[in-house]
Amino acid sequence: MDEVSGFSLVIYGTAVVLAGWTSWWAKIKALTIPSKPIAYQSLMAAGIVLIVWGMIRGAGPLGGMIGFVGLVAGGMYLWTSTMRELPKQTLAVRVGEPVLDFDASDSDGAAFSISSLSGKPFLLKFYRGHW
Amino acid sequence: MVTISPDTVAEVAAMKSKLGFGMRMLSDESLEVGALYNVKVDKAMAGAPGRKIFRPLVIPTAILVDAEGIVRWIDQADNYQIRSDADRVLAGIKQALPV
Repeated sequence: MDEVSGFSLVIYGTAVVLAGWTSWWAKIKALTIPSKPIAYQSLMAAGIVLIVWGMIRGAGPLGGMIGFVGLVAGGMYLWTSTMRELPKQTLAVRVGEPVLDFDASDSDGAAFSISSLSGKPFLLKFYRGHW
Repeated sequence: MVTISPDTVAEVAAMKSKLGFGMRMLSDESLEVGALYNVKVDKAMAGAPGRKIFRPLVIPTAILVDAEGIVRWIDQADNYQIRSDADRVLAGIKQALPV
């Protein structure tokens, strides 16, 4: 490792971070995200360590820019991975209880009442948004 | 199936058109319905371009209701990155509402 330049360490570290992000994105698309991404967090941490090590050794201006990108990408993953958990909140209805009636606008802007579905089973799905 | 989200009516319409969904899709921009069902999260991280990163959103939740208006099955995420897959939802529906 004494013969490995600071620039090379930055490149290795950034490559590790980008490879981790590529793999993670594939898991998002395939709906196979692990509930505990410890391996990915470790991978990103390892990449960050390599980048910092390389910068300490001296990676030059280009290495510095590349390393900055790697640090931001790796740091973002570690930060967002700690914010995946949703708060534990008690749903206002339980199995066996009546659904709560409400009014909302549909995609045409028309008023819609959940009670209009009376007599038919349905699945009500709350989701975060269109993105 | 009826979906509901904090998206605006325009965003819901665009998504419905883009994906060709035939189901009823509702807008809960003010999050009143989210608050009613207690799935509203006051500060959540979102990835929508052009919008604030942290804003009120909802916990992804599916509620199966029978023809009498009674809740028969509930599926709620505890992690915003993990989505319910179709097989899991269909299995829950079949178990709760056997034909």
